[in-house]
Amino acid sequence: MLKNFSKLLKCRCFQSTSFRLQQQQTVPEVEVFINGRSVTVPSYFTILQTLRRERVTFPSFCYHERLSIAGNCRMCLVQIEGMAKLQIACALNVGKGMKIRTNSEKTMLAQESVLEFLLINHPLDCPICDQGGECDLQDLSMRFGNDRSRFTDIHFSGKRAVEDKDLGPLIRAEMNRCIHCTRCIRFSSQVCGLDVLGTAGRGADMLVGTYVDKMFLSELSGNIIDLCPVGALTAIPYMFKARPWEVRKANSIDVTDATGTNIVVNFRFDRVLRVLPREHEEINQEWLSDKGRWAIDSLEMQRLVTPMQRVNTCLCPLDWDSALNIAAGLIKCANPKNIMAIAGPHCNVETLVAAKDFLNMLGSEHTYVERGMNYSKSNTDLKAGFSLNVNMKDIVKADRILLVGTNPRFEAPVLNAWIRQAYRTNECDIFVVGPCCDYNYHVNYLGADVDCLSNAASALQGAKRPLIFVGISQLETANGGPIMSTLSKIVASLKVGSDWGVLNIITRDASFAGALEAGWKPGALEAVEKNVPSLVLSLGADESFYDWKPPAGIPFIYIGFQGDRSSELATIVLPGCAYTESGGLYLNMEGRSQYAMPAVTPPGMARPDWKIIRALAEYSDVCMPYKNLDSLHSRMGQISPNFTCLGCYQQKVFPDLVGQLVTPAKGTGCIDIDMKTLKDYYCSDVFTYNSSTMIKAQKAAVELARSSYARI
Amino acid sequence: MLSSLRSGVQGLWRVSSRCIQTTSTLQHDSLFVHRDTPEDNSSIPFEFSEPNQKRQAGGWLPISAMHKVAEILNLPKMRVYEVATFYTMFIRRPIGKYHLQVCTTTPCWLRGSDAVLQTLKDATGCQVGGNSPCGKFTLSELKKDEKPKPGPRSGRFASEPLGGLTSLTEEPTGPGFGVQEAVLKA
Repeated sequence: MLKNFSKLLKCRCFQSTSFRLQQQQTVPEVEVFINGRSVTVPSYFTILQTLRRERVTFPSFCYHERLSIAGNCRMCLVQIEGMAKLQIACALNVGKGMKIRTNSEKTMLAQESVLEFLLINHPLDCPICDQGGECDLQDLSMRFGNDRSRFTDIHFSGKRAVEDKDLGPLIRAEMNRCIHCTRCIRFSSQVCGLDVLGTAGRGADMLVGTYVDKMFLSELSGNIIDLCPVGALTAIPYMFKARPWEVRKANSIDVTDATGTNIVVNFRFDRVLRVLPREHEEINQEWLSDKGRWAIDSLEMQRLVTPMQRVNTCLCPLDWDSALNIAAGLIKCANPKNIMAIAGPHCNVETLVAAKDFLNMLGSEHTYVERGMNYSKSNTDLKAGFSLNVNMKDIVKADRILLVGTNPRFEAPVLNAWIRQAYRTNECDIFVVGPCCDYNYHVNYLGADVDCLSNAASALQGAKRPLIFVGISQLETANGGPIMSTLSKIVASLKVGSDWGVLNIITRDASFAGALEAGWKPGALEAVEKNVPSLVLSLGADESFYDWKPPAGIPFIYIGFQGDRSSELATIVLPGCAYTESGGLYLNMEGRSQYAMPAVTPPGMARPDWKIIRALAEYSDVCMPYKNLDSLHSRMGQISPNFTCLGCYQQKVFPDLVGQLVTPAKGTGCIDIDMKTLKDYYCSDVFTYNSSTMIKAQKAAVELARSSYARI
Repeated sequence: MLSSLRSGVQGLWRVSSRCIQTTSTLQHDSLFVHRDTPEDNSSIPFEFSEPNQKRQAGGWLPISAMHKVAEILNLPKMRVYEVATFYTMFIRRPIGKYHLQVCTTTPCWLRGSDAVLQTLKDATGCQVGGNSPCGKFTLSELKKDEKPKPGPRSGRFASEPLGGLTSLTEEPTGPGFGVQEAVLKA
């Protein structure tokens, strides 16, 4: 067996070397000299890319890896031997034998002069500027600028003054500080797909902005703040709150959607101040949705900080000991076979595993997530049936995309950025079966009825890398079966490689993939209607209880962090943690597991959810085989190796079986989407509805839709 | 005593005057943002018609016209605004029938353009960049548009001799000129 293994390994090695060889053949390389040092780079590189790869410190403002090249800041002027004038490194291709001088006197003088020109019109208001400490202009002035000023014009005409723009309730635009790098313009047009921003006027009078009085609202709008190299665009919710050197940082995962966006939580004195995106080349590039960025003020709204017990119509605070005693008493009295746990959208895998183990030990199998999904006989056995079956970064390679009952722009904004990239760079045609929505690319509507799916077959025919995205909300309805069986037939008729997952499901909840992987079942509402539970344990689940109220006399234990519908109905409330407090493992819609580090301590008497469940088990005389995070993690590893194999994308197996196991059912016909326009996006669930920032944004979106300049 | 007080105050003012930051005057006589006015807003419909094409909507470009252009060209509106604001001859506010433009660049200023401008202001009642009260005239400053001929005025274009070429006047010789015959044959 070992022999086989080594053979396999050799084979792999051979493959990879041959692949490398092939690459070398296809991309010609050229030799250039940086300050006399010879380096070899691919011939398509620009000089700035070469310098960045070789880790030569070199200034630039307008250049950004993920946006088109503008070349208008002139900061990256560089001397190249044999060229009479200085060249901009960002827009000049490397040539054979080019001699680049980054530390010559001419280059350095040019850098100094460009900075001096920029500072003529840049206000010296760093002490009151939010960008202070993380400002490119500050940093580059320190490194490349002159150490004294020759600016005396303040006595005569003064600095340029520009009126500020109103870009909405999220982004503060202080246009005096703008250095006209046009990154925000390129981002809004290329990534957001909204040509709202532009330049008006020219020369010394040029303004970056909207020309007409109009807000810039998009599901990815917050990213222009990160892109802005100066303090012209800053975040209103973070305005005047902290300096970058005061905040502490924790790497985390965004839970407001199921994309598993990598984020950095910035906190100080145990308060989360802001959330910034973290680069991940395969998931979010470096973007973050507005909900993930700004719904954090919800973490301080309606928080449950102490255990509580229902007395008549009130909830009275208790200490942990008595609360756990009462809860354990309720559990012991209930028929163990019918105890039911319902998981909310933000549960981490630790909580889910602990809760399932607990219920199983009690003798119950009723563990459900809120979202339903009953289109398949295989239920949740096939991962390909409820997840994204293509690596998110490969979406950009698609040449034809079909969206069925989903608007990824609002359901998964960073995934939509990939789709838009495929649309922009790969001439991808996009077809939609579903109602008219706001997409930020051109789509061809095939109809809003399940029967219209038959047209999709001809639309996808002949595509080399087609992709089909189905919204998870479609699989909840009776349409799920017909949609999936039709689509599976279409996929079977396409001629694509077996490693290319054509049929993908876009899920919406951060806990969904993790829960199903841990053995939870979908469809809480159906389950409670089928058989009345003897006790309900809600793990941060609120939405279902707007539709279903536990009958009187059935005890209801709520473990969660936000007081909403569940805590209103609960017999006992046990305060849990939000994702910034407990951290934990999250599986995104690709089934990729990622670990979120905890940032702040839970408020008041709140405790990590899995510890509450562990303690509850102890009080109910059930012994769980783990008592700390390490042993819990090894238990998780037993359940699924995917829980301990962090960060990598795993190919799904048997994707073609999904279609064969579809339950035959008749659909109602019409496909509907709940987030059609931007105003539906901001407050789509309990967590975001509790965020005042999101409510302001929603109001602004409604106002923008009414404006006479709303259309782009 | 009063005078000493005044000089004291002036001295103080001089010390503190550095803290007062002035802002630069607008270099251009038109705004680069749009403001809705009764004459120019997006709710006024615009269609291309015969009279429009002869004299474009009274000599100026309303925002509705930009929107119409965007619609025809299938462009985002912002891209049309960009063009309209970039070129100074797109006038984006209502102007009078007679558009008076005075060049105030250094050569004209030396020849007394200020006096001309003042006279026009008095005669029409316009401010620079504004319309006259009767609405008939518009006054604006402009930078001289006429393209000057390159080179000195002596008749030369660049560094060539004044009286014509003195050398290299003959027809250029072909390839192989002056080469030894043996080499050519080899």
